[in-house]
Amino acid sequence: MTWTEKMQDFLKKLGEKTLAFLKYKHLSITGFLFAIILGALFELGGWWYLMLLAGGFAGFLMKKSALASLLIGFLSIAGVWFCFFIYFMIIGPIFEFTALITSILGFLEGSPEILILITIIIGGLLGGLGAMNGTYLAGLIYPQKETSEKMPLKGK
Amino acid sequence: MNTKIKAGISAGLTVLFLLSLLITNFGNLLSPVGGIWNSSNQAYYPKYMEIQDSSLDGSILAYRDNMGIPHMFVESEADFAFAIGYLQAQDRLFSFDIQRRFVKGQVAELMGPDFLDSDKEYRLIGFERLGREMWAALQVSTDPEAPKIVHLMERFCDGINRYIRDISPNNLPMEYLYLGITPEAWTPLDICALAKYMSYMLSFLPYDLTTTILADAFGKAFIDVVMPIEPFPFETPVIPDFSAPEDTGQPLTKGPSKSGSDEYLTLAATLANQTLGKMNHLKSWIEQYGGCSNNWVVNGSLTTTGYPILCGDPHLPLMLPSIWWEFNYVNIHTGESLYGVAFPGTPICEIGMNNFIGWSATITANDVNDFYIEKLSPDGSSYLFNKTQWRKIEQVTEVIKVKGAPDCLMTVNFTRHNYTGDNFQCPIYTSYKNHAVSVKWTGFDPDPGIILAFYKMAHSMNVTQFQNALKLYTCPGQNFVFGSIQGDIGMFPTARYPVRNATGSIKDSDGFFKGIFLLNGSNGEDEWTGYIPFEWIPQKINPDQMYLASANQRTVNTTEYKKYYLSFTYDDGYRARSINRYLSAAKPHSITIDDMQRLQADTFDVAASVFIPYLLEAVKARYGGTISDPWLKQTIDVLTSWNRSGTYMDRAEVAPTIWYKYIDLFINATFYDDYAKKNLTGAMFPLVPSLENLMCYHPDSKWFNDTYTSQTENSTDIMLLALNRTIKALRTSLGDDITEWKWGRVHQMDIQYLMGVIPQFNIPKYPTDGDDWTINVAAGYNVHAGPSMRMIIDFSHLAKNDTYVGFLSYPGGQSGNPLSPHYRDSFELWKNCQYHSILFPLTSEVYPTDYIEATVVFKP
Repeated sequence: MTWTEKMQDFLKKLGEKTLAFLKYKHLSITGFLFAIILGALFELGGWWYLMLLAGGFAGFLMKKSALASLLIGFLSIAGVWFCFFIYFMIIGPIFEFTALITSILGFLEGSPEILILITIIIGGLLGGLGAMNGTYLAGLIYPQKETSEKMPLKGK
Repeated sequence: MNTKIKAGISAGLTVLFLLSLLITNFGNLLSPVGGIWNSSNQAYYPKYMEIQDSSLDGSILAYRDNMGIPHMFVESEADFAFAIGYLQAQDRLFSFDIQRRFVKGQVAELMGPDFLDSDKEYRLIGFERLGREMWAALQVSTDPEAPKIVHLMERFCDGINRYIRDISPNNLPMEYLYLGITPEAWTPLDICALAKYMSYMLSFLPYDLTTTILADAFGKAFIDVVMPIEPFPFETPVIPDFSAPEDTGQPLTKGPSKSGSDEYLTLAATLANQTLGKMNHLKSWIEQYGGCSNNWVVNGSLTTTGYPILCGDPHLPLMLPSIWWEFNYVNIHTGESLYGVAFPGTPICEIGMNNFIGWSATITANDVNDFYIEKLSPDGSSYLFNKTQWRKIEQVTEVIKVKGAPDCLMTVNFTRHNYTGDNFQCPIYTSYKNHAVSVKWTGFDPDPGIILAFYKMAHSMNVTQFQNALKLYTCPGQNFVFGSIQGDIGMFPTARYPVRNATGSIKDSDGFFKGIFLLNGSNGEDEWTGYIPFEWIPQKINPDQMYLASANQRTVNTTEYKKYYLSFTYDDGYRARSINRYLSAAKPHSITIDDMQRLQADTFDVAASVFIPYLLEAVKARYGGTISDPWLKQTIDVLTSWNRSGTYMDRAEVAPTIWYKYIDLFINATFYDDYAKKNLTGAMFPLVPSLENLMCYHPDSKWFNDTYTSQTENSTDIMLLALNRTIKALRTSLGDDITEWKWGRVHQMDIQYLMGVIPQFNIPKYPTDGDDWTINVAAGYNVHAGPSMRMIIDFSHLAKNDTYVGFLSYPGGQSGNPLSPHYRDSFELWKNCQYHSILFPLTSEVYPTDYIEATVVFKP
């Protein structure tokens, strides 16, 4: 194989790997954005339980591994809820309020920000679990397809 | 593990997680939108809001000032009603919505069986039914203003309901999320029901039951000891010298004392005891909050400005959110304006002013309800005997929903005492041995006079119009104090007071006024025959003494006013004596606003100033100059020094603690033995003025004799006994170091959020001055009631159309949101007896812009 052919082969493989990588990322980013947009819309409507659906759509679309879907779903919805709290910080006395709530509940007193963190985690879990279920659902509906499109490994 | 199993596990975990969020309600509570976080977001008013509503007549400009008080510039009165509804809901939606549930007897549905008793008590009175009847009566009223008032009430509800729509479902106050409920639409029926409820709390008194029990035990004449029917020489009535239209009344005479063997009285006492057991909520209200208020007005000849000054501080429950909501409006076309306070959930200005006049109110405590002993038919108690015939008992079945328990069915029985044309239902409380107890109260009358009167009062321009407005007023009895820019002052202890002279006499066969004890409901002799004519209600305009003052004391000197019976259940009268003491000593053109502020904050205790010298004299008479007991010596030293410097109930002083304990034990030492022998230790003891009367004028009265001893005691013996018991009790509870017995240690202000359901929202307890008998009242050790608002109107500023016309403060703030800066900003002023200026701009152009915290524009 000439140097030129080797170069061409290398570039071809590089191209294939890049395309595969991009395809993987593309789906992930699409799913991530999909979950964020749906999650924000549903939350603006006050339907917190629809975070499952937002995550579910994303998971169904991504068809990643269960763990990857869980992670992406979690990050997307947790991100949305985090943004809400940033907004709340700007418009109201959110930390004073949280301190008041934690003193009423009788736990987490002294570190009210943990309640906000717990809230964001709850949102994230809703998104993550939704995404994981979406992925499994896609696998059940399209069993002939590989539901978990793995990242091409180096050298293969 | 194959995909199906993994998918199953994943779905199962998800369902579990979701269920746990739903069951614990954490999902709803913690959701960023629609969850509890909204309370934080709504803590501040938006700087600018615009609300479009096609039902408006024109645009409304509303400024929230730096206390959150809205000042509305409107184009029509209907628009004002809409705006006040919207803005009131923005501040207090949950508090008046939960109040509606209390009034309608629907709290057990939310909170569980603990609230079933109060629900039953309120359903027995039937505020929902009373509200419905009053609203129906208002709609068909022939009063020319009635259609307009009906429209205004509907527009007020439209404003509230528009706000509910705007915030539903995602921006509701957190209390709704916590309870898992949503607000229902507000209706005029709710306004009427709340009006009836407040009337009940401020006028319905159970004392006829108490007096009957005491009369059975000690004879009817004992009532003159407990709650004197005739005034004591030291009393200062509300109306100083009422000139009745025609004085043809019968002389007031008392009948012979009846013994406890009177069979009918014994039956009445048994029924009275049972009935009292069914009004625990009312009793607890009276014990905790006991209605007592102050108001006074001074003529321009006494003030430095030459114009009247009017002061009012209604004493009501001190709670958060505050019982009051403050507002101001100006009609930009007609120039009409109003500034005042309303009970949230209503558009009615209870206390306030317009461009010409101002008013405040205290309750009169005149007798507007009677309990009747009914005769039941022997056949299962389905009929009552009424004068000449058996009348079927009317029944209504109430279904009370109870959280965590089956629904409770409650049958409410009614009769009617409609001999004179009235036709309202009188609920039946209890039955015993073919007898029952029903109650008749002027508040059961559906007449919407209270709403008509308040509307017309707010639109009055002079004393004549104000007086005419009051002719419509129904219930509860209120001492309306009045002042105007024309220089007139007045006092009107107004209500519909019943006349009980079906037999041609207002007294029973023993010579006692009908209305003091349980009445006979079956023979027709104790029926009401109408209401006291307005001109016969004691009232005064521009008195010679140049001032008028009320503090729930006796309305009029009943040795001179003999035609009608008003009441015997008045306040102790010490606050009234304090106010009169100060105002009667005022020199011409000497009184300033500062003087009035000081008077509202005054903590001089007249009762102590009377009792302490007698006690010191008794000690001197017994021990001479040598007291060997070190505790007694220290106590006497403290009291002597306090007596010299003026008996002020200062929280940093020790003497007030001794005095307060002493007076309690003095009453106890005087009467306990007599009560105990009749098994009545839980019954009402005589009031302090009764003891003052005995101590000053009858020191050898039989009541001072301790029947447990073989000697015969007099007042001196009992005073010393009470003092020794006081020292012993205080050493036990507060320790041996007398310097640590400071009043503020045991006497603390306790202002709670919605009866303390969330302690974190309460104001922490703090030591406070005053007691039951000071102008700045703070009754009991744990103070839950007091001046719910302090207001001073300076008519010299009102006459000049100034922007600032007086002073006001109340414990709390405009907002019901605990995070809002206006949740308790007025409290800090109130606590120190300070005020905010009443900002009363007549146009938006003169509104001081640096006071604008937020702007709300309503557009059609």
